[in-house]
Parts: sequence; C-alpha cells; structure tokens
Amino acid sequence: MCSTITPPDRVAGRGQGSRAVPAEAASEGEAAEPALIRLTMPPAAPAVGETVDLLLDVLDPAARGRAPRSSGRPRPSDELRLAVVEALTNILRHAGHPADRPLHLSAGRRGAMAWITIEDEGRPLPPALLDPARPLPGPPEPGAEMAESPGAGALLEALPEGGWGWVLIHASVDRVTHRRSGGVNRLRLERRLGP
Amino acid sequence: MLQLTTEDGRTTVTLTASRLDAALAPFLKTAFEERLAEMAAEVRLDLRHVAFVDSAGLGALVRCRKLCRPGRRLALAGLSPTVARVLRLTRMDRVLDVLDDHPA
Repeated sequence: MCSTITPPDRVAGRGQGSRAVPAEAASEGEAAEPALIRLTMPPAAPAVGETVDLLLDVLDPAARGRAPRSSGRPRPSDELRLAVVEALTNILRHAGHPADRPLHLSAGRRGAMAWITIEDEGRPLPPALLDPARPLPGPPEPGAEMAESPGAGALLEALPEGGWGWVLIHASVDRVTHRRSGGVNRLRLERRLGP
Repeated sequence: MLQLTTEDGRTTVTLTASRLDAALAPFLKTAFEERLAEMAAEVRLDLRHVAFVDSAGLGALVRCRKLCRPGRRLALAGLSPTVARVLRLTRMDRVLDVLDDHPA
C-alpha cells in the first residue's frame, strides 16, 4: 500500500535565501517550522506501519539499520514510533474519517525535538483524550492471583482488550497538541530524540 | 504466522511477524484460536521476533490468554524492551505471565 510523498515546501537550514512561512504555521502563530516530509496515507490499518517507518527514517536517519536494543529502555525514536502508530490507529478506528479521503501527515525537526502532525477529517477529537492523567482502562487493580482459582475466570474475562492507546501516547511523547479548524483535526506530537 | 513445537507437555508458539499491530492483531487472534487444539496444557508464546507491539497487539495477546482458559496456562517469552514497556505502561505485566528470559 503506497503513501504519497510531496517534497517539503521549503528546505530547512540550507541557506537558500528567503524562507516563506508555510501558511498553516503562520496562522498558528508558531515560528516557521518547515517540514522535512509531507505525505498522505490511505486511511487503512495496513498502511500505518510503513508510513510511520518512513516518517521516523526521515526524522532519525541515524537509527536506520541500528539493531533493536536487547535490554534497557527503548530508544526515543521507538517511543515516538509507538505514539504515532497509536494516534493513527485511533483515528482510523474512532474518528469517523471518510474512507475515501487520505490522511495528511508531516514531520520535522527543531534541533533535538522531532514533531509529527496528523490531519484527519473526522469528528472533533474528544478533549478528554488530551488529558495525560486519564485513567487506564480495566479493573483498577489487576489481581495478582491470575493463577487458576475459583474467581479467576471472571477476572480474566473482564480484562480489557483495548483502550490503552492514549495512555501509551502520553507516556511516549513530550507534548501533545490539537487544534481543529475547517472540519479538520490537526494532532501534533513532539518528542526529543537523541542519546 | 505461528510456528508450534510441543515437547515435554509444553507447546512453544513462536510468532514469526516482527510487528504486532492493528493490522496483524485480528489474524493473531484467529490463528491462535484455530490452532488451540494442537496446544498442550502449558503454552509459551515466544515473541523474540517481535520488535513492535501496540495497544491492538496487546489486546490480541490478552485474547490469546483468554482463549487458553480453561485448561491451559499461557506465558509470554522473549519480550524486547519495547514490548515489555507496553505491558508495563498498561499494567498488563501484572496480569499476563511474562517469563524473564533475558540474558543478564
């Protein structure tokens, strides 16, 4: 499944003279942050993995070909990967984004900080999801006694099989922002990369 | 997607995919249920090839656990740091049996 890549409007930091501010950045009042990559993605689950791989490869080319860690903490780029995958999956499952319209993504760096934006045309993002303190799904204290015991069956069946997406997003990025205009949700995730 | 070997009353189910995400999760659930009858009472789900698990993948792992009951016990093995982190953040490491099989 192919994503469509368009070249960035401006190339960051290459000294090519005047640098126009992308329209959407100017309207947000943020400093101009030219994207390293912009692309569209078909709104289907099988496209998510390769799309995120592509974004991360642009954001952190030093990670290319690096073996996964066998111990210790995951790398920052791996944590960002999880957050973006979760955000996309949530959009595909819950936002009501039209099936015949692509999602628009862009990504860039500002020094050590990597950012990714996702635009969808679904329902407004529920503000409660942006609260990092929102509780985990499922029973408040998963029982330690999951071994076979008379009550274990009910405990097991009550285990959630989802609902963790936003918990994982908040735990994996430094900042989540959202704005909506013109029927479009724009979600932005930021994460410091580096050693 | 699943390779099964049974020895000494234990079945090791090796997941061959490297990415267990929303696209793959439904197939894991289906494949695991389809092959359940081949599995011994003790089941070890080997995730050594799995570099990435998201919440959908975790949901499939929980489903596998549920499918094993009654009559079977399921433990996860070969978790990478990335995968272990997802279980820890969701508190599901307290609920799913995880074998600590990392070399020191």
